[in-house]
Amino acid sequence: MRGFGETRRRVSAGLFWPGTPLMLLVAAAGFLAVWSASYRSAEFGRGYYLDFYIRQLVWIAAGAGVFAAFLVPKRRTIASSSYLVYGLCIAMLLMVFVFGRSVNGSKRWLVFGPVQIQPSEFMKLGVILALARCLGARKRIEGIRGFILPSLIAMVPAVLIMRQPDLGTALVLLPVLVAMLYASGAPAKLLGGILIVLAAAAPFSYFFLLRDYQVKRVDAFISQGGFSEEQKIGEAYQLIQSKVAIGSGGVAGKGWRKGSQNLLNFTPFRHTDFIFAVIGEEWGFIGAAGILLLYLLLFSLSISIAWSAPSMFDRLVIVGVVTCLAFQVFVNTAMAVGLAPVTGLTLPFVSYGGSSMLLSFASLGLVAGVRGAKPEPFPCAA
Amino acid sequence: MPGKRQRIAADMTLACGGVVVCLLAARLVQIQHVEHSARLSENEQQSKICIDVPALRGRILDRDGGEMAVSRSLVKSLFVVPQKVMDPETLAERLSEALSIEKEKILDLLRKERKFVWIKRKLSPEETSRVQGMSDPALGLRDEQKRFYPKRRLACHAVGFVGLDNEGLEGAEAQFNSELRGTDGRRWYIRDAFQNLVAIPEGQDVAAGDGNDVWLTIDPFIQSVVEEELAASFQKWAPASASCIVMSPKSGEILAIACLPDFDPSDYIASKVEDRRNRAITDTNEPGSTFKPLTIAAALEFGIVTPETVIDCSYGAKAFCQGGARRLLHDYHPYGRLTVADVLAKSSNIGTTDIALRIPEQRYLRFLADLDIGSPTGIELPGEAGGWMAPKGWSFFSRTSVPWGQEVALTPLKLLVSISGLVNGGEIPRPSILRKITAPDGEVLRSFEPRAQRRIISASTCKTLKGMLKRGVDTGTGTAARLDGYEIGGKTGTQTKLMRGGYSMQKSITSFICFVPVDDPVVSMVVVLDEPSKGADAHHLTGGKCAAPAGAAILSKILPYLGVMKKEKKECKEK
Repeated sequence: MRGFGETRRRVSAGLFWPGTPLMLLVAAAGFLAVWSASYRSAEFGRGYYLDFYIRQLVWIAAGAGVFAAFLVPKRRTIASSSYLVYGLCIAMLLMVFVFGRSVNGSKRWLVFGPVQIQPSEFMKLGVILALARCLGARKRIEGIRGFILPSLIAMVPAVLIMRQPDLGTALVLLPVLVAMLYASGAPAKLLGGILIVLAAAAPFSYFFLLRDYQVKRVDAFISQGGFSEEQKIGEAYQLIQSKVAIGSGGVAGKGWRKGSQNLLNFTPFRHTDFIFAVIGEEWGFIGAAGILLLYLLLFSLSISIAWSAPSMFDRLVIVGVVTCLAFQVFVNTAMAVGLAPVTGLTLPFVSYGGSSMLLSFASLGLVAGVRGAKPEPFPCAA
Repeated sequence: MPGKRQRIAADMTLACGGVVVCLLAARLVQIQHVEHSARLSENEQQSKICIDVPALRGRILDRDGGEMAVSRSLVKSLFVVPQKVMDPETLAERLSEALSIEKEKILDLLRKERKFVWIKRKLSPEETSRVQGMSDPALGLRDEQKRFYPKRRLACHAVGFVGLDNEGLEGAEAQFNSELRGTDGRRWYIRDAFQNLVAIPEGQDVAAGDGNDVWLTIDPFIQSVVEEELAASFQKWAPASASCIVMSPKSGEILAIACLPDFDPSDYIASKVEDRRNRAITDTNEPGSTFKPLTIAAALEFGIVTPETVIDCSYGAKAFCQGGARRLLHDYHPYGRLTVADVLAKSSNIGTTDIALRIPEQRYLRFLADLDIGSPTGIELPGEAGGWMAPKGWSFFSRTSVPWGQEVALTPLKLLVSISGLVNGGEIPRPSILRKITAPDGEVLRSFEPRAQRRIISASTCKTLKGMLKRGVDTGTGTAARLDGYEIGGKTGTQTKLMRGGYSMQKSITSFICFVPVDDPVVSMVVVLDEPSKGADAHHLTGGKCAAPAGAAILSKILPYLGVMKKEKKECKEK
C-alpha cells in the first residue's frame, strides 16, 4: 500500500505539473497547423495530407497516454532498465539496416504491419537514459579517460543513424552528450577543449563525411539570396518557399487555412519538417514567436524540476531531454527561416509523425516523473 | 541537492535558450516585417497567373457592309499536358469515344515527352461539350481565332492580310490594325505548385474589348467588274503587271482598286512578295502623255493660251533652243499646225512643250507644286510612294521634258487624283478608302469626311479642259474608249520605260485615264498596263490600244450601275 501511495503521489504530481497543460497547448497548436496543412488542393496523384490531422489527433491522445504511463514506474526502475532500453534501441537500429524501408533515399523506417516506427527517434531517449545512468553512477569525471565510455554510448548510435543517412538526428546526440557531461561535473576546460577540436574538425566533414545531397544543402544554405536557377528548383527550393511562406504571413498572418503557400502546395513537407512555415504564414509573427515562447516556458519549467530532483540520474535525464528537445526546436525553426541548413528534424509536439510525437511525450513524462519522487539510493551506487 | 555547478549550468541553459529565442524572433521580424512586401509579392507572383483573353478582331466591310475580312473564334482546340496524365489507358479510351479517334493514336500523344501536345484542333460543338464534361486536369481547351476572307481575292491589295498571330501585315488590315485588334481581356487564375489552375477569383478579370469594324469605300460590284476586265486585259496583252483605280472625283472615295497579279489573302504565304504589293499606290513611273492635261490646264488657267490658239507642231520633229541649250523633240506623226485642243487630243509632245515654254518657269513650277506632285496623297493604306519631281533648279532639258510627263514620277493614284482635281470643278480631292469605323455594337466612331479641298484651277478653265479631254476620246488617241451614248473625257499615255542607261525601245507603260460624264463627273478611273508584250510589236502597244479598251469595258458595265444615263444621240447633235 505504501508503494501504491507513493506512485499515486508521483503520478498526480506529474499530471499537475504546470508544464503539462503547456505541453498539451503546444500539441494543440500543432494539431491545428497539421489540420491546415492537410488541406488538399487541386493536386492529383498526390492525394496525401488529406486525413493527417485525424491521425495526428490519435497520436496526440496516444502520446498523452504514454506521458502518463511514464509517470508510473519508480525512478529506480527506470534507472536500472536504462541499459536494457539502450540495448533494445541499438538492436532496432541494426534491424533497420536489414529490414528497413527506404523513403526518399534513406532507410529510416521499420514496418510492423500497419505501424511504421522510426528507431532513431527512440534511440535519442535510449542514449539519454544510458548516459544518465553511466554519468550518474560516478562521483566525478577526472581525466580524459572518463570521457571515453559516455562518448561511446552516444557515438555508436550516432554513427549508425548517420549511415541511414539521417544527419539531423545523429547531430542531436552531440549536444545531448556535451550538456550531460557538463551537468555531471566533467572538467569544463577539458570539455571546452574537446568542443574546440570538434568545431575545428567540422569543416572537414563537409569534404569527407557528408553525402552529395547534404553537401548541396549546405551549399544552398551558404549561398542564401543568390541562388542559381538550378538551385532554385533544386536544393534551395524548400528554403526559398519556406521563407516566402513565413515572410508573406507578415505580423498577423493570413489566417488559419488561408495561407496560399500552404494551400497551393508550394511549401514542401509542410505537415512534417516545414510545419513551422505553415504556422509562420497563417498565424504570422505573433503565432511563430508565440510558439517559440511556449517552448521556452516549457523547457524552463522542465529545468526547474531538476532543483528538487532526488538523484543525479534524474537531473541528468532532465538535462538530456531538454537539450534534445530544445536543439530540435532550434534546428527546425532556424532551418525554416534560413538560419540553418535543411535537415530532417521534426518540431516536437507539432510536426506530424507518430514516433516523434510519442517520444516527445515520453521524454517529458520522464521529466515530469521526477516531480514528487523521493530521494532513494541509486541502484549502482550500492 | 544540486550543487553550485548545476545551478550555473541551468542558468546558462536558460540564458542560451533566451538568446536563441531572441535570435529566432529577430530573424522572424526581418523576414515577416522588413521583407514582408517582397516575400508577399514573390508569393503572389508564383501563385497568381494572368492569362490573356484574346479580343475578337474586327471585320473589314465593303461600302455596303458586305464582309471582306472576318474573324471567327467559335472553334476550340484540345490539348493535353502529358506530365499530368495519371492513367493514360483510361483517358485515351474516354477521349477516343468522345472524339472518335483511334485509341492507339491518342495513347501515343498522351505518352509524348512534351509539355504541350495538341490532341485535336478545331473541335465540333458536340465534341467540345463532351470534352468539357470530362474535366480531366491534364486536358485543356484553347480558343482559336481564324481570319476569313469571304470574298476571296476580291480587293486583296486593299484589304490586305494578317499574319499567324492575327496582326495585320498589309493593306487595311495593317493600316487599321489598332482599330481592328481591340483590347485583349485578362483573366486571373490561381496556380498551385504543380502548375494547376485551381480557382478563378472574381472581380479582377477584364473582359476583352472586341475590335472595331472598318468600312471601306470599296464598292463590291465595281471592284469585281474592274478585276474581271483587268484580268481579261491581262490575258490579252500579257503585261508584267496591271492596276486600276476607280474613284469618285469629287469626294475622293476609292470605289475600286485592283492590281494584277494578285494573291489569296487567306494563304498569302503561297504568293510572291511583289504580287502582294499594291502597285497602284506603291509603284511610281513616268506618266508620259497622261501628264499633258496638267500642263495645258496651267496654260489655260494663266490665260496664256485658249483652246483655239494655234501652235506650230512642225513636221514630226522640232528643235527648241534657249540660251545655249538645244532640245530636239519628236511626235509620232507630223501634225503641222494644231490648235491647243488638238495638241491635247492628238497628244503632241512638240505642241505641249511649246505651250509649256510660254508659261513663266516659276508659275509653272508653282502650279505643279500646288498639285503636290512628288508627294503621296495620304490615302489610308500602308506603303504609299510619293513619286518624284525636281522641286527647283530645272535645266532646259527638264523644262522640255516635264510638260509631257518625263523627268517626273507618279503613282497611278496620284495621277488619278491630280486629273480628278482638274475635271471635278477645279479642286483637288483627298483620296480615301475609309468610309467609317464602327464599334462592335454598331456605334459610328469615325466617318469619312471629304477634307477641305484645294482649288487648283477655276471652274471655267475646268470646263474648257473637260471639253478638250472629251475630244481626245471622241476623235483623238482615246477613240478605243468611246461608248455609244456616254460622254467620256480621257487621255491615253504610252511611256517608254526608263531603264538603266536610257529609255527602253521595247518596254513601255500604257495607261488610260478618264472621267464620266463630262458635264458633271461621277466617276474617274485610271488603267495602267505595265509592259504589255503580246500581239503587235512594241511600238504599237500604246495606251490607246491596250489600256483604253479595258477602260471602256469597265465603264460599259459600271456606268449603268452608277445610274449614269445615256444621252440620246439626237440630244447630242442638238448640242
